[in-house]
Amino acid sequence: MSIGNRNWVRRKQWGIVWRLALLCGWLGLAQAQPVAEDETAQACEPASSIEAIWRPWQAVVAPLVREAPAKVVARESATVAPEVAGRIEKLPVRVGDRVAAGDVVAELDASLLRLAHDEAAAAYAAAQTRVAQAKRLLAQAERLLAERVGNRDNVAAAEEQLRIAEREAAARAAQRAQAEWRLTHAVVRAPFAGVVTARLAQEGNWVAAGQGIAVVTSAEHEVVAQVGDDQAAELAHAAASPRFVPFVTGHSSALTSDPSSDPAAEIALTWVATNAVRDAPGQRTTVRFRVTHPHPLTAGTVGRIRWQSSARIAPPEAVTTFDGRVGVWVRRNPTAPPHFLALPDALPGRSAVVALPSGWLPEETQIAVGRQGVLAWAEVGARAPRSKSGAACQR
Amino acid sequence: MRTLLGNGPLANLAFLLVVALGVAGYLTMPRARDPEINFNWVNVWTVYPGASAEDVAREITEPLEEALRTVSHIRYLVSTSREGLSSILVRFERLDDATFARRVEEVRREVLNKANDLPETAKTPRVMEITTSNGFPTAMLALYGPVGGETLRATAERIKRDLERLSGVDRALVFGFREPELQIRFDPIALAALGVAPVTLADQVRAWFRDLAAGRVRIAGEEWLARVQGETVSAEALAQLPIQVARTNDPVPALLPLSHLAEVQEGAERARQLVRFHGHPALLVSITKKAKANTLQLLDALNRYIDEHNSGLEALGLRLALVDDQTPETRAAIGVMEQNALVGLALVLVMVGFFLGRRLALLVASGMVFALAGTMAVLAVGGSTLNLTVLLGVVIALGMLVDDAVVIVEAIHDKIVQGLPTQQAVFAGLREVAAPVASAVLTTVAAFLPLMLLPGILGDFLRIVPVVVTVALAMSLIEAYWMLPAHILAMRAAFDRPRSRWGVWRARFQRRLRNRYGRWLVWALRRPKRAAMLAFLAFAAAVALVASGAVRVQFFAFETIRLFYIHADLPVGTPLSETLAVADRMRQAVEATLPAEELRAAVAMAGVKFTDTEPLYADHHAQVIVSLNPRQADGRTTEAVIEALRDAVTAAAKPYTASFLIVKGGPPAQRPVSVKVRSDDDASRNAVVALVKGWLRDIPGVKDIQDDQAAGRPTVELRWRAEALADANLDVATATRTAALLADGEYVGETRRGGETWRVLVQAKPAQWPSVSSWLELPIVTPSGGAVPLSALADVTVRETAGVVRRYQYTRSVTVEAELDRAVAETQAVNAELLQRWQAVAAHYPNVTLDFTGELDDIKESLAALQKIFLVGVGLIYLILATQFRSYVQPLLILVTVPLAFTGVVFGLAASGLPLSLYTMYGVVALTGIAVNSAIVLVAAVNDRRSAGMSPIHAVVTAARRRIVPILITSGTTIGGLFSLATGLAGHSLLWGPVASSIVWGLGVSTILTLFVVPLLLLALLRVQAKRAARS
Repeated sequence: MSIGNRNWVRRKQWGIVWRLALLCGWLGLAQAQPVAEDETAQACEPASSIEAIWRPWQAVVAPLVREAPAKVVARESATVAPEVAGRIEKLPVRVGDRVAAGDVVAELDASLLRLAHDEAAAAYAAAQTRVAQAKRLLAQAERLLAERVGNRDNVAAAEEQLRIAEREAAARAAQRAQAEWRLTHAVVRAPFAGVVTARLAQEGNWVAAGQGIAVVTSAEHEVVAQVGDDQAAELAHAAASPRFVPFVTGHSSALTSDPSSDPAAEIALTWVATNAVRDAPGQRTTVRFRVTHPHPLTAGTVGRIRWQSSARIAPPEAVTTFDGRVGVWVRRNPTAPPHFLALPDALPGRSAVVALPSGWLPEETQIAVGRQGVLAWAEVGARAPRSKSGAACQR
Repeated sequence: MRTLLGNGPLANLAFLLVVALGVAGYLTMPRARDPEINFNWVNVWTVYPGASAEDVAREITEPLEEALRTVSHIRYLVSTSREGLSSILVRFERLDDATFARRVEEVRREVLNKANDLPETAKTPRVMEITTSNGFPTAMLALYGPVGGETLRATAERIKRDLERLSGVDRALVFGFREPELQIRFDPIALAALGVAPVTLADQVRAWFRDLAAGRVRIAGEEWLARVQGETVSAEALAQLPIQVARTNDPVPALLPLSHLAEVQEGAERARQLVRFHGHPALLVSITKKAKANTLQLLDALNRYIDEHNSGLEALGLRLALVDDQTPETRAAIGVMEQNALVGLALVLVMVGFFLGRRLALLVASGMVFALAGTMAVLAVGGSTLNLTVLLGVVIALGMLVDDAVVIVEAIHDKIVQGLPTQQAVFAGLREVAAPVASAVLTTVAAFLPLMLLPGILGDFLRIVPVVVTVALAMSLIEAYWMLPAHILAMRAAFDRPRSRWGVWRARFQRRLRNRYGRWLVWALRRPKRAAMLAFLAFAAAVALVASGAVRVQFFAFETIRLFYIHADLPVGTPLSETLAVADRMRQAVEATLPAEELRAAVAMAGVKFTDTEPLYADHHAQVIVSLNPRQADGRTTEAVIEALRDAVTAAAKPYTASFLIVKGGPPAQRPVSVKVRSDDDASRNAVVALVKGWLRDIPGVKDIQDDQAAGRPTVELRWRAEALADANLDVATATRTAALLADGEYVGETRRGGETWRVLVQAKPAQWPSVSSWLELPIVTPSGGAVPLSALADVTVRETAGVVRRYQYTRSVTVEAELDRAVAETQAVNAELLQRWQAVAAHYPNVTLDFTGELDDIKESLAALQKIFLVGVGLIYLILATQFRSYVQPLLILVTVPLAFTGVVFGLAASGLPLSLYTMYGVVALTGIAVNSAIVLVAAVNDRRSAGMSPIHAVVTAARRRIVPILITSGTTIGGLFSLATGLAGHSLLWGPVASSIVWGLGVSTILTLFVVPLLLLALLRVQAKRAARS
C-alpha cells in the first residue's frame, strides 16, 4: 500500500504541475497579444527613390494644328438674263451642259422686235426723204433769192426746215440702231465659259428684262474658309509657308475601323485674300484660297482647312498642377535641376501652349510626362523620411 | 453533491473546457474603445444644391417632416435647414433592437415616398442611424500634397473606395471632396458680342453630348450594331465640338469650335469644405467602423494600407498620413489590464500562500484563472466587444473573485489543522461556510443590481459593468463550490501528510495573530463608548471632507481624448478661401508652439465645425483639428496643452475670436440653461428671444449667453417684367435659364470615367463683381441678335435671407443657451426663474411656446434615478441578510459597514487628490458588497456559537478570533489583486487607477474598522437581547 501510495502521491503532484503549466500557458498566450508600441505615430518610413519620367522636348511638344470649316465655291457664278423682254422661243441648254463664252443660251421670240426694227427703218427712210425734200426747198429758195424774186426769210426758213429734217433723220437713225440692238439681243449668250448649273425658265415663258433664265457657274474654283477673329492673321502667315497643310474634304474612299487613319483627301491651297471686314455672329473673317494644282473639285464640297500654328503645345499628360498653378516641368538639359514652368492660360485636363524659356535649346531640353509628383515633393523640400502622421522624422 | 465533488475527472475536464473557451474568447473578441450603444437616433439628410436656407426649409424640410408625422415612437424631431442642405434628426424613445429596426424602415419608406414630391434638382434623401460606432470617427487620414487639383480629388475617390472595402469599415467620409465636372465656362459679355446666346450654347452641347444606341442593321447576312457616339470623357475632345453660331446664307457653315466660345476644362463642383495639411491642399478622410468591429485590427489594416500605397502616391505628388488614431489608448488600456492582472494574480498567490500554504494558494490562484476565463467565455459568446467599460468590470471583479474560494478553503484548512481527514474536512468546511458565502456573493450582486435597471442611454452605458461583475462572481461561485473542493478531494493525500516546516511556522503565526487580535478586541470591548466614538469621528471626518470640497465631486471625470478642435467663426458670407486662410494661420500657430513629441498632427479646415452633437456645415466656419500623441508619464494633459496654446492661437485668429472644444468620453453634456423659443411667426419669435436674453442678463451668475440664430445671407431676387420680356422677344424659360447659366450654371450631360460620373456644366466664368448692379448689367442675347441687360428685364430686390432655419417638433425655433457660474447660480433656480417670468408675459405672445426640455433630458433623469436606485440596492441587501440571519436587527448591524467603507474611500481620495467620479462610484458600490462580506462571515460565526450556548462575550470574541484570518485573507487578496493597478506598479492607468485605489483604501480602512466596530455592536445587541430574554 505504501508503494501504491507513493505512486499515487506522485500522480497527484503531477496534477499540481500540469495545472501550473496551464496557468502559465494562459498567461503566456495573453501576453502574446500584440501590444502596439507607442511610437506608431513616430515610426519612420524610408526615403523614396522614385524618379519622374523625362522625354526630349522635341519628341513631346508638337506644333498646334488648327482647323476651320471651308467650302469649295466657283469663282464666278452668273445668272444669265435677257436684256429685253420677250417670249422664250428656244432654250437649248440643260443643267450640266458646258458652254463657251458667247454660246447661245436662249433665243427669244424676235418677231415683235423685227417689226419694231422695220418700223424704225421705215421712219428713218421717211426722215431721210424729208431731208432730201428740205434740201431741194432750200436750193429752190436760194435760186429764187439769187434771181431777186424771193426774200431772205424764205431762205432762212428753208434752212431751218433742212436742219430740222436732218435732226429728225438723226433721231430716227438712233431709233433704228436701238431697234437693231434689241433685235440682236433677242439671242442670250453665255458671258463666260462654264457649266449651266440652273435653268430658271422654260421655253415658252415670257420673261421680262433682267429676269434670270439660267445660272452659269464658272469652271474655276476657289476655297472659302471662315475662321475666328484672331486666327485670320495666323492663317495668312501659315499659308505663306511652303508646308501649308491644305484643304481636307473629310471624305474617305474606304471604310476603316480606325478613324484616326482616315485617308481623307488633302488638296494643296494657295492663299488669295483675307476679307478686311468681320461679320457677326461669331466675328468671323472670310479667307479665300485658290487651288494650287488643277484638281477635279466639285463646287459646293464642304470640308476643313488645316494649318500649323506657330504655337507649340504640350499634351495633357505633361500638364500638371503645382502650388495652385497649372504648368509643365522642364529641365534645360538632362543634368540640370527641374523647373516648373507656369502656364497662366493653361486649363486642367487640356493640352497647353508652351514656349521654351529664352536661351534654352529645344534639342537639349527635356519635359516630364509622368510621375511629376516626385518633382513637386522635391521642390517643397519634402522627400526626406516622414513619419506616419506626416510630420518630419525624429531620426 | 458528494458524487459531483467526488468525480475528479469531470471537474478537471470542465475546468479545462472553460479555460480553453475563455482563452479563445479573449483572443477573438473584437477590441474597441467604447461599448456598442445605439442612441436610437436617425438622421435624414438631403442635399439641394444652390438653394437658400429658407427655400430648403420650405421645399424640403417641411414636406419631409410632414411625412414623418405618421411614424410612431418618435420622441421629438430637430431639423436644421441651411444653404443647400436639409438635416432632420429624429429621436426615438428607448426601443429594443427589433422595434427600432422596424421604425427605421418606416422612416426610410416615408422619406422615399416623399422624395418624388421634392424639387427636381434636390438629390435623393439619405437615412442614417447614429450609434457610438458612427457617431465619432475611429481614425482620420489626410491625403495631401503640393499637387492638389484633379489628381488629389481622383486619388481620394480611389482611396475612399479601397478603404470602404476593408473589413470593419462602415463608411469613409471625405471632407473637401468634390464631384468631378467637365466645365464649359463662357465669358457672358464676349459671348454676347459674338451674338451667341448662352442658352444656344448649352442646348447644342446637350444635343451633341449623347451616346445613342441606334439599333441593329443587317449587313451581308450579319447583324451589326449601330451606335451614334457623342459623349466624350476628355476635355480636349469636348473643346473641339463645333457649335453652330447662327443660321445664315453664307457659303460656309457658321461653325466655331467650342474652345473659341468658352474655356473647356476638367474641374470639379464648388467646394463645400477646404482642408490644408502641412501647408498643402488636402482632403480629410474620416473612417467610422461597423458595429462589433475590432478597432485594433482595423487600425492595423489602415496602417498597412498607408505603407503599401505611399510610395505609389509619391509619384503623383501626394501622401497619405494617419492624422488621428484613437486606439493607442485602447491598446494601452488592455495592456495595462493584462499586466496588472498578472501582478494581481501573483500577489494573491503570495497572500494566500502566506496564510494557507502553497498548495492551497495554487488551487485558489487556479480558481481565479477559471473565473476570469469563464467570464471571458460568457462575454465572447454573448457577442460583447472587449472595450474599456468591460475591462473596468473585470478590474472591479478581479479582487472579489477569490473571496469565496478563500473562505471555503480556509474553513477546510482549519478543519484539516484540527485533525480531520481531508474528505471529512472538505464536507465539514463546506457545510460551515456554504450559506454565508452564498449570501456574501448575493449581497455583492444585489449592490450592483440596481445599476442594471437604470433607464435611458446612461443606463445602457452603466449596465455593462454590473453584468460583467455578476458573471464573474457567478463563475467564481461555481469554482468555489465545485472545482476547488473537487481538487482538494483529489489531492487529499497531499493534505494528509505531516505539515512542513513552513506549515508549522504558519500555524504558529496565525495563532499569535489571533491571540493579539483577541487581546485588542477585548480591550476595545471593555471601552465600548470610546471605541464607538472613535469610529463615529472617523465617519464624521469623511463627511466633512466631502462637504468642504477637499474631495471634489466631478461626475463625468473621464480622461480627455488626445484630440481637440479650435474654432473661429467668421462673418456669414465670407468666402471659403478666406476662411481657410484664417484656419491655416491658427494651424501655423499650433505647429509653432507645440513640440513635435507632443503634437501628432494639426489639420486646418474651412466649411465645417464639429460640435458635441452634430457637425455644422457653412462656409464661414474655420476649424483646426489638433491630434496629440498619447500622453507620456510626465507629459501634459490635453487641458494643459490647450492653455499653452491659447494666447498664440487667439493672436493668430485676430480679428475673429478663437474657441476650443475638448472631446470627452461618456455621454454628451448639455448646457445648464437651454430654452427653445418656438413659433412660426417671425416677429413674435424674435421679440421673445430678445426678452429671454434680457432676463438672462438680469440674473446674476449667468454668462456666455448665446442663441443659435445665424446671421442672414445677402440675397438678390429677380422678378421678370412681362412687358420687357415681350419687347425683347424673349420667353420666360429662356430668360430664367440664362439667369441660371450666369450664376451657378446648368448641367447638360454626363459621362462616366474611372468609375465616377462626370457631369458637363455650362456656366458663366466665375468672377468678382464690385456690386450687385454690375452683375445685373450682364446681357441676355435676344433672338434678333441684340443684347439686353438683366436689369432691364427684371425687378430686383436685395435683402437678407436667414442663414440657417431650425425647427423643433415641427415648428420653427431658436435655442437660447447660457453657462452658469456654479458658485453664484444653480441650474434649477435659474430655470424656475425664467419660467416664472415667461408665465407673466405669455398671454401677450399667444403663438409662441417656450420649451425647457432638453435633448439630453433622459441623462438627467438617469442621474436623478441613480440616487433612488442606490437605496433600492441597500434595501435588497437588507432583504438578503434578513433571510440569511432570520433577524431584523442584525442586517442593520451589518449595513453599518457601508458608511465605514465610504469613510475609507473618502480618506483614500483625499490622500491621492482624485475626484469622486462615476468610476469611483462603481468602486464604492463594489465596496459596499465586499465590505459587507466580512461582517456577514463574522455575524454568522457569532450566531453559530450563540446557538451552541456560549455567552455573548465569549461567542463574540471566539468568533472574531476564528474569523480574523479569513477576513484578513479576503481583504488582503482583494487589495492585492488591485494593488498594482492602484499604485501603477505594472503600468499607470489614468482610467482605473482611481477606481482601484478607492477600493483598496476603502477596503483597508473598513476592514480594520469592521474588525472592531461590528463585534462591539454585536456584543451590545446580544447583551440587550439576553437581558430581555432573562426578564421574560
